Order: sequence, then structure tokens, then C-alpha cells
Amino acid sequence: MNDEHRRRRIEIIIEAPLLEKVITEVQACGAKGYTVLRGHAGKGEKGSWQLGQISPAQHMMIVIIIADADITDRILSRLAEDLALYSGVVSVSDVQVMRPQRF
Amino acid sequence: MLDVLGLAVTNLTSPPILFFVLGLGAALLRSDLSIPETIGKTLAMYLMIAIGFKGGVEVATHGLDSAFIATIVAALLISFLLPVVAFWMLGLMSRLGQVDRAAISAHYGSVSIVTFVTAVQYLEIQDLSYEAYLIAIVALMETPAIVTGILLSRSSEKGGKPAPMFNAYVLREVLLNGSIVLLVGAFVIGMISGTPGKEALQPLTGDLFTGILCLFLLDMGLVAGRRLLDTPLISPGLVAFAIAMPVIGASAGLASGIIAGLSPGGTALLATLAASASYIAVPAAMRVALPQANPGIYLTLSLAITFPFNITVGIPLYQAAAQLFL
Repeated sequence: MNDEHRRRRIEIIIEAPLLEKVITEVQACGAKGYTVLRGHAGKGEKGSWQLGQISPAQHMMIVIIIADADITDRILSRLAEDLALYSGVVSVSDVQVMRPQRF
Repeated sequence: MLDVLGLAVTNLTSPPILFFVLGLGAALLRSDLSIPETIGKTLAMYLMIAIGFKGGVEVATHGLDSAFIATIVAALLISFLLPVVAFWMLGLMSRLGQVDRAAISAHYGSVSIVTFVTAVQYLEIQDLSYEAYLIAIVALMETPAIVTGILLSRSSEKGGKPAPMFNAYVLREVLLNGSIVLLVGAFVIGMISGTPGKEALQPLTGDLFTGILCLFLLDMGLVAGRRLLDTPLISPGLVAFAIAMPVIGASAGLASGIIAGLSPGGTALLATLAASASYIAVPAAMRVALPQANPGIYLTLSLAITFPFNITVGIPLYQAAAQLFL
């Protein structure tokens, strides 16, 4: 695959109550699509968590977005501001995709 | 002479409470007993439908009475103001910072519908009547405390910086959360369908009710027990708060019920609502609105201490007090 196939993959691990908001923001930044997964269990700065608590307050969700560099930058700067106080992880990696026109 | 001890024994030996104790014990002993999450959610949905429907049918049959408006006002006042009392008490009883205190306070102003359902069941075992419209009023008591909690977190310069953009969103989430929509929706369905509807649904919403409540409370016992096991270190002051606060809330509910002119059963229910603390909707709202507050503390207090206290000792106590005064 050549340069034309290069995109960025953003992975956002976020608390469930914030999910809808984050998805709205991501789409407003121009992302054409996204995928949401449920986190099963984990541990971080603020202690451990797992699925199956009675309140969704401590469930974590994972949002995956593939986008070009411009949209990625826009998403990151928007999220940096909004998520400053919240638990979670945001990471970006370079990936190559099939059918690049879709992203 | 009222037999408070007798009432407490009636409650503690009823199947729902015994199943709760079983769940709690199993979790504390680290048994692998668990109820799958989707089934737990289905049971909760069932309870909302059954209790909402029952309330709607009652209101359709008996109508509203003069205490209705006064009760709404009392319920809203309790929900807005109890967090202020909780916030002040936490200042005396703990060393927590302002944001943690505000987040905990919001939980104690809001309500636990499961505690309420358990109280309804308890009244029914004793054939004690109550104002059925209280079931709809529950829906009004979930949200106001969240507003007060957020305001308390900002009440001084030192308060944590709020996350402003999320707040309108938080309120919508809580107002329209699934349980409330189902409770109010089933209430309206009950009002429309009346007694014929009640007869049609009797096997589901009537006969099964106590049995499903047992299953649900078994699950709640497991959840509360697991919560106790992964609890962060909670100071004795906070444990005392989680027991004293429901009693204070219940006193406010009791006084309001008497002033509003509710029956003894209705007054006991209003006291139970004021005593109960949220552990589903408010924690989710607080994660969004006050992310700096530690969820380990507020979840442990409301779910693992106040909830078990209310359903075992609290409910009979509040009922005895209501009957003593009325």
C-alpha cells in the first residue's frame, strides 16, 4: 500500500456517561464514521473498574475513529479541552487502510 | 402501643429482605454467585413497570386528593434542600473537599426507586394503604438534588472548576433516564387502562411482584456486597454520615407528609423517599458534572451503607414513626 492509504486511528477510552457527547464532538470535527466497543475491565490512575456495576458511572467505552491528519488534529484539540478533567485514554496511531476513500 | 420491634422483625423475616441478605452474604464470602447483567436490568425494568402500573390504576380508581399538590411541593423542596443539609453535615463529619462533599450531597437529595418499591411491598404485607400518586412523585425527586449538588460544588472560590458544557446534557440524561421513562409511562398506562387493565395484567404486575422483587434484591445484595469488598478506605465519620443522613432525610419526609396531610402509609413512603439515596442515575450524572469527585466514596456510601440500612432497619422505623404521629 502507498501513501494514499495512510490514515490515523484514534482510540478514545472514555467513561460511559460521556460517550454520546464525545461521539457528537467527533462527528462535528468531520469524522465520517466511528466504532464503539464496551470495555470489560481495567485499571488506571484512579483505580480499577469492571463491567457489571449497577450504575453506568464507572463503565468504560472505547471509541475508534479512522480519519485523515486534519480531522485527527481537530478532534484531538477539541477533546483535549473537553476531557481535561475526566478519566480515560486518548491515543493516536498511524495505520494503513483499504479503501481509503471511505475515511 | 406500637410494636416497633415486631415491625422490624416482620420486615427482616420477609422473603425479599432475606434474599437481599443472602446476596450480600454470598458476595462478602466471595461466592461465584452472580446474576447476569442483562437479567438484572430486565428485573429492574419489570419493577418499574409493575409499580408504575399499579400506581396509575389506583389513581384512576380513587382519583387525587387534597394532599396531592402539597405533596408535590414538599417532594421538590426536600429534593432541592436535603443536599444542603448533607453538605453541611459532611463538613462536620469528614475531611473531604468541597467537590466530594457536593457530589455525595446530590446522591442524598435524590432517591432510590428500589428502596421505595421495597417500602411499598412492606406496606402491602401489612395491608396499610397509601396515596398511590406518590409513585408518580418519585419521578420528580430524582433530578433537583443534582442541580443543588452542582451549585454547592461552586459555592466558593476554591470549588473545583466545573465542566460547563456538559451540564445541560447531564440534566436531560437524568430526566429522561430509562427507569423514569418506564415508571412514568407505566403509570400513565395504568391510569388509562384502569381496573380492566389491572385484571388483564394481574398475573404479571400483581402475582409475580413479590417473587421478582426477591430476585432483584438478591442481585442488589450481590452488587452491594461486591461494592463493600472493593471499597476505598472510608472513615468512621463517613459511615456515621451514611446512617445519620437517611434518618435526617426521613424526619424531613415525615414532617412534610404530616403537614401535607398524607395518610400514615403515604407519610412512611415520603419519609422513605427522603431517606433514600440514589446509586444509579446520580453517580452517572456526577461522573459527568463533577469529574474530580471520587466515585468510590459516593457509590460506597449510597449503595453499600445507606441502601442496606434503609431496607432492613430504616423502612420499619419510618413506618413506626409515621404511625406514632398520625
